[in-house]
Amino acid sequence: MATLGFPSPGLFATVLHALRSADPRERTVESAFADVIGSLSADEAEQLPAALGGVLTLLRGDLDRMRFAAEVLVRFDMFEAAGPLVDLAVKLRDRDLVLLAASLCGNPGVADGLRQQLSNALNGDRAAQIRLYDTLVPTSGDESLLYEQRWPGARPADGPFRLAPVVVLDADMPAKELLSVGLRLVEAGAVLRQLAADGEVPTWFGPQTVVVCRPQTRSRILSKQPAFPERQIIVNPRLENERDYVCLLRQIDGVLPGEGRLRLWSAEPAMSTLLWDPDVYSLGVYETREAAFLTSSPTSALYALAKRDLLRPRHAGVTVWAFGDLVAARTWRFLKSQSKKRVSSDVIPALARFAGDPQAVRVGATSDGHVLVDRGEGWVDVRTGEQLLDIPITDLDDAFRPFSLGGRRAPGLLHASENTRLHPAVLHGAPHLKDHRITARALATLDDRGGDQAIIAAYPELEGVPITDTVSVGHQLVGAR
Amino acid sequence: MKFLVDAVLPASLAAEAPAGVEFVRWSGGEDSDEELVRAAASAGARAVIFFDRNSLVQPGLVAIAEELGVALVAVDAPDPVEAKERILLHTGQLRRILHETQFALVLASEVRSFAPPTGTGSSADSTGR
Repeated sequence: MATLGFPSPGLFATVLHALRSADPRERTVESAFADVIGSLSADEAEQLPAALGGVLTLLRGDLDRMRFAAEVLVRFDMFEAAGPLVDLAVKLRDRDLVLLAASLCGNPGVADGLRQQLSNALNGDRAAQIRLYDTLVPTSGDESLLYEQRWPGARPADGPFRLAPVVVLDADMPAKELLSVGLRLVEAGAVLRQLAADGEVPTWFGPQTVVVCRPQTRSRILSKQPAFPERQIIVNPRLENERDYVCLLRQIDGVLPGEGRLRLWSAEPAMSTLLWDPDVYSLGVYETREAAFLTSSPTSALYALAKRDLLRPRHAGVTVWAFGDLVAARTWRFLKSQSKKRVSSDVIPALARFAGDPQAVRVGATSDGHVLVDRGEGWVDVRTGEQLLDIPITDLDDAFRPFSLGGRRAPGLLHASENTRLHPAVLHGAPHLKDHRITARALATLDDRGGDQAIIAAYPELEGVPITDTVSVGHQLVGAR
Repeated sequence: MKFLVDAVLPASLAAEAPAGVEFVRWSGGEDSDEELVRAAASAGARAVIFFDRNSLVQPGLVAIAEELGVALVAVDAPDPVEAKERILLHTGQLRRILHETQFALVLASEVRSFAPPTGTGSSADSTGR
């Protein structure tokens, strides 16, 4: 996100509405920002800095709100919008705005001319100058603290100040991803910086810095800062769903050295529902035909696996399978769909009996039956604790996507369709309509009863909500019975 | 007697409650089964009503319900509208049975107590099914 296209009137209106609605005395910057980015398209996300910069002038009659908007720019390091902020700071001679503008102009992505324009207006303000120039030498304890806050590359590894961790995001990431990651990082207490695609690599990279970037940017950083620890560079993280964002935060926190830590508790509610959490992985109640549908297995195959003691379903009036059983059977089927070679059935009990891992960022499996976890530092065998290198490992997230084997099609496990979700802790694991505790099967039975009218009569809150694909999944489940 | 009713059961159930009974339908998002039980306890509900008996077999849910003093009820029915009809038909019997048990199953013609699953995962309703 380092382009500055011209925002649409609609985007200006969205931003202005969000800022006007936010009471700076009662809302945090993060919560106001969350409101703004919540519904942006990819193009609008690209143009958000320009829109924020553009509305600053409109807030001239409300200095508090203008400062609040400027703080949003600084907290998310939207250096592309430095121009309007510098203009206003210089014209109004407001010290808060000057300091905010100096913070933003510290990004080397800001043009030298703009930085100079602000510098000329500083009148020897040391606090502003330290924000603007990493070459300024601190002359007091307070200045040293400010300097290390602004220029993390200058922080000693065991310095006296306990400062917030700094996370640098590649400005060339897709804008919507960058904004979403940035918001979560700010909520978790990180200081955010954006690294522009071109230009110098600034004095940001120090022991308390983690970078999230593309491969090219990684190469650029390491060529300028060869001593920067590679484990603190995260390249091309997957960001397809909320769980991926939470995993990224955990991964970042895992590689932060020293005492600086993210406030992960702010994401704990989402993290507690991570599938690999021991309290979650063991949940789920699936009757056999439903399990067969979700794993693309014939029911006879599931019973055969139980007979061989590779899976251990429970008996609650009928045979019921847990989420871990589904993962095991499905992964084995997926591995078979990907390889012409024989896939050992050892992977089935290994996954079914996997106890979960609260630190796991990813879980993987090999075709010879190893189960591995990645806690942010590479794949480790859960049984032996050894790191495995140079062995093909299947990330279980791949096995959760749709695949075909032997003429049977497995739907996406966690997302059977665009609006269908599955989570073992919700509705005992039944596929359901996203954002609702309404099962796909229930929708299908009502559809059979009286079509959309019957569905809306039962669930008036679904008026206008897309449900067709989930109804279809429900029919497939009912038909599987 | 107050019941927290899972969102999969029809919205009209609340409006059709007989005297002395309050059905509060879950209005949150796709929260977990455990959160529903905790919400019921917070709201002073006697029981949570789920659709589909497999809800009562969800590992750990029974323990949480027992700890919080919330009863668990499931309705066996082919669709949510039929489930609602069965609840309304047997509300009186449900209230009475919940004086004696923490777990109940609403069927077409009656309400039965439901034995929670043991550690080996076996469970049965009062007919021994």
